[in-house]
Amino acid sequence: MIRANPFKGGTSEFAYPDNGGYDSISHVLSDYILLKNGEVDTQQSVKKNYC
Amino acid sequence: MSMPIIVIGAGVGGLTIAALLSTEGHKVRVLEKSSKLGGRTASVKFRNHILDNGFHIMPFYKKSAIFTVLKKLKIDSNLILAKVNDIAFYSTCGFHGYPKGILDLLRLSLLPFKSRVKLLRILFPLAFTSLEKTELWDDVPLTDITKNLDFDTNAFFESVCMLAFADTADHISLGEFTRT
Repeated sequence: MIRANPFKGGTSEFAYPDNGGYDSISHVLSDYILLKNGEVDTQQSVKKNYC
Repeated sequence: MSMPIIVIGAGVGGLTIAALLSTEGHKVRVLEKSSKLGGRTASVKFRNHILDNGFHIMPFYKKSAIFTVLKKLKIDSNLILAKVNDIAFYSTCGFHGYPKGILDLLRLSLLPFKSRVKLLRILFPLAFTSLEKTELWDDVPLTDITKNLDFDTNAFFESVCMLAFADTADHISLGEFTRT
């Protein structure tokens, strides 16, 4: 367990992407998928096919 | 050749599972309805500020599940994290530096001086409480020490609980709060 130093650093476990927005996490994951020859396609429509 | 695995939705959940499948050698294709990645964590730019659209606070600590996945994939260093020094609260009268420790509380311009003194009286003894003792407080609600405080002082506890636990003070134990 990491304890916050009451005089330095405070809540040292806090983590927020430096360039702003939690969606930065998604961009890092997406880059990894592309690196592994996967595909990430936006503006795609998917329809349920009921048999 | 095996069929690709289709993952629907490029939010954190969809991209995480797709990344984990990729690392196991599966071919994946992620399909996203919108033009952006991130799902409910998607952010927008507004007047040169980045606004988190969905989650304003996410349990994204260095020990959280998502950070563990980034470490497992060895891509945690690709995400540059903000330093505590860069974090500020905003109110109608401007930005206020995030208090990094007990002494910074005295300089926290967001709160009236009277509230800062009250906070020091409460937080100073907590900061030097042993871990063993805090475990005895795991069944004691944090509100036991905050319920009689004035609005401004109580608001500090509510903000810290929201920031640290993504929850309200009445759901946090005194032990948990003291350890954090």
